[in-house]
Amino acid sequence: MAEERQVVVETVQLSKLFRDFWMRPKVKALDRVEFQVYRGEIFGLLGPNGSGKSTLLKILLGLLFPTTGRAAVFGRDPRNLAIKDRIGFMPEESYLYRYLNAEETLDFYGRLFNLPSAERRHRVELLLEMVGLTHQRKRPIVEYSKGMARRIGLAQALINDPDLIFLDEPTTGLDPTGTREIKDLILELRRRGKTVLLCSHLLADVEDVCDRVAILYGGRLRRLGSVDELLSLRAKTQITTDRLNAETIEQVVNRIHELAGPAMEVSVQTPRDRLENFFLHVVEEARAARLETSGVTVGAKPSDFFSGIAREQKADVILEELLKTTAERTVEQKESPDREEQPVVVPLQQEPKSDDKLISGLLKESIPSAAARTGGASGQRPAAEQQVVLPASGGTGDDSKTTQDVLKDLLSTRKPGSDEENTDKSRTRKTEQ
Amino acid sequence: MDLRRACCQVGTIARQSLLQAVRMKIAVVLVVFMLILVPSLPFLLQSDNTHEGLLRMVITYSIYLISFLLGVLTLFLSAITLNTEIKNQHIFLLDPKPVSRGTLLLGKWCGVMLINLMLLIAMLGATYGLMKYLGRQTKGETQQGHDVVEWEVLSARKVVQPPLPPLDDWVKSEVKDIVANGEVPEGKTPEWVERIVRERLSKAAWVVPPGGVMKWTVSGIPPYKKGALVIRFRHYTDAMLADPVLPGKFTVNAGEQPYSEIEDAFSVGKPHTFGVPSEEIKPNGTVEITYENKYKPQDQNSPPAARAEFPFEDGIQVLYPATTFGENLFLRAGLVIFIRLAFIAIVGIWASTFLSFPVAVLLSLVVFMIGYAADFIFTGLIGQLVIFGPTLVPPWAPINPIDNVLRNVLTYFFLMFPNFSKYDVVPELSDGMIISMWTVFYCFFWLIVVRGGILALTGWLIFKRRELAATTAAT
Repeated sequence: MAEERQVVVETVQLSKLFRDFWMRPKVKALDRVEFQVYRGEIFGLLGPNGSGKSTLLKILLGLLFPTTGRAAVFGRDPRNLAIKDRIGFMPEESYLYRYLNAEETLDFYGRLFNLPSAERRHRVELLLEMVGLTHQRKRPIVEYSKGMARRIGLAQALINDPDLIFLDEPTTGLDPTGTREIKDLILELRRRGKTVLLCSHLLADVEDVCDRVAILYGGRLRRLGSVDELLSLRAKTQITTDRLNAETIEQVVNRIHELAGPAMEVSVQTPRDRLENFFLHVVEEARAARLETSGVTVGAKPSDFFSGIAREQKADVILEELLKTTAERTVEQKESPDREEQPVVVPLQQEPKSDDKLISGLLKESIPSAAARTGGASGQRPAAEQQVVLPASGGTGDDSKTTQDVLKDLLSTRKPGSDEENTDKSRTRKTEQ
Repeated sequence: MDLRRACCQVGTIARQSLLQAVRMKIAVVLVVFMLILVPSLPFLLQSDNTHEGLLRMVITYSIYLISFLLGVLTLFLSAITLNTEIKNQHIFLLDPKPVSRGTLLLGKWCGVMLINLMLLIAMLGATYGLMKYLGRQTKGETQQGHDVVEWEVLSARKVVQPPLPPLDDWVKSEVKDIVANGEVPEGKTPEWVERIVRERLSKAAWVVPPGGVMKWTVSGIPPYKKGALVIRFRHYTDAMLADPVLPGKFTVNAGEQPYSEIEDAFSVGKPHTFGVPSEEIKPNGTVEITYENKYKPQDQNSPPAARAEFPFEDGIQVLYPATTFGENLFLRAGLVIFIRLAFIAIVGIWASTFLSFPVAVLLSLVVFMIGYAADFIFTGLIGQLVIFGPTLVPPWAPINPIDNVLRNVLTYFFLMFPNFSKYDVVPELSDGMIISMWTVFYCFFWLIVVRGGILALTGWLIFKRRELAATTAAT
């Protein structure tokens, strides 16, 4: 039985309609959006430009008001002052006062929370240290780089030790180290029982840290669920083991074919899918359904930025390019002689040379999806693991055997008594080396 | 507890606004500008070649300059302070903090007023220093000239007058006689007659024929030891004099000790002053002033008689120092100017609760200019407004009813705007008169409590319901 979890953020049939000066409807930024964020989770808000993410965030911060429906933070209206004591917000851009220095900035925001002087000074010290700006504390923010301003933006969001933190594109403008630090910090916040609502375009970041994500398009909620749920390929079964050599893999594949039939599609690959693909798939779906959006549009709804037919076509071309999956682009890159100089992402670059041929052979023979082809794009996947992917059912020639049966047979042959351990492993998303 | 918290937040926001003005060099530039301009005033202005006149001009121009410059600065600062928060999206970080919209508005207003206070003190300080310096310069010349400067300008005096005759009764009685005798001119109304009679009689509260003596007892003067008691008078005459002067003699506490007397030919229609030692104030706080009309015809062409007529308003006055020039300038005049600035700041912030910066500034500027031109608008513009009736009519002729309605509508409309001339402190300052606390209170009540209160309330209601991110989200 699922444990009753405390709802921190809730929207019910939330809609937002922007009107022009004459009160004529202009843009429907949100359309009956409904979701909940629970205490202690990291919730990701995704969507292309103009999908309504910012509007949603601003409603939750009390900067905009819903047209219809309801938004609640800690069970209250977002404009309620009492809940604002428990909220931290790091905006996408640096909205800090340029003439203040880092110390004054944190002190200013600390004062707004009425923190006692000693505690305020203590927190300012800690936060400056945490974001690595102790030595730059006296420099006016106008002299800061974007990354430094982002860091101080994050520090101000934490000055009141909030229970709920809104992070809008927290890693934008940060170097890889800073990005890593922010992600670690987000995970640390969760560990401390804080709730984080994260809005980001950097899908890898979202995938790495978020427990659940919501994907918006055209102001409507297209998908909502845990990252695992959304990214799992239900038509496939994945077995993750420690590193296998090519001979073993071949034997495993043969054994699968023996047990499930020769028609069973088997591929060996690194154990990872990318959120980016899923996200783009959702957007593609929405685009195919020709949903209206106030953001970037394609097809019959050209971007307002361009005018005239020629430009509409140009807009379409740009958008098409933007919406192409990474896999499609990778294939194009391979096919195009002009792009030979571009680095082609090859999975398992760090594998031992002796296994490369066999694994590459396996991959060439049975690449199941674009996702699989780009699985190693980030270079983050563990080199010491190997995956076997096969359809969940059907196509085996033996309908009476389920995939689970096949797996059991397989594993009992290779490693008796270790199926439970391996199954657990296959379900574990590893994000670190 | 919440009030204390709100106060702290107001202080924080105000302090931050002040810091902004200082770091952005707004305050520094203005202070430097004024510190250069104020000492330059004596060289830029042309007076009547008297020290007294120069000091009067310096204080007049200096205070008008301070009021105007700070007024314009306040107008811009107040209109920009909130708009900058919104335009630069600082508000996105401020609004999600536990700061109510009202607190934010109040904090911004306090911030503007802190800047104003700082600048006002600096500018008044420069003016005070210059006035004192110019006053000291007169010491090297005649004692009389120095005394006049000290008594007339570098002072803050209160006025007491002898009991005034019943002007209303006089007017009523005379009008009644005119009407009863059928002497009302043809085509003129009794109201017109009353106005003419009142004008005439108000110029002659006390009439002293040649050789005659008038004695006034002025009471209500607090005893003080330092300085001089100033007697100020103005008189007219009913005779057509070739040289408009009337010889006369003033005696203070005649027949008693100590006493003072002054005899001279005093020009007609102009105010005259003379000082007597403060010891002449009697223990009961009174002084007795006697005037003797010493007119005698000089030749055959001279009128046989010339009465001395002392008007009600400033016929005879006794002025005593009520406080110091410094207190008058810094506390009273400063307070009135500060209250006016506070009102302008309310207007600017109120306008920016629903308007963008340029429009808010424009609206504030309109209010500001109407405030300065209110007297002209009411008397010169609305008072003379003729659209539907004939333009060339005698003043006593009844106006067209539609014009009358229009005048009333416009009058009530413009009553919504302040009239800054009602709270003008310059006449008192240049005349060395104390600015009464009643004036300060009156200014505070009408500008801040009534008009400011209405604007603050509506501004708060608008801002509370304003979507601060609407513009960016919609575009």
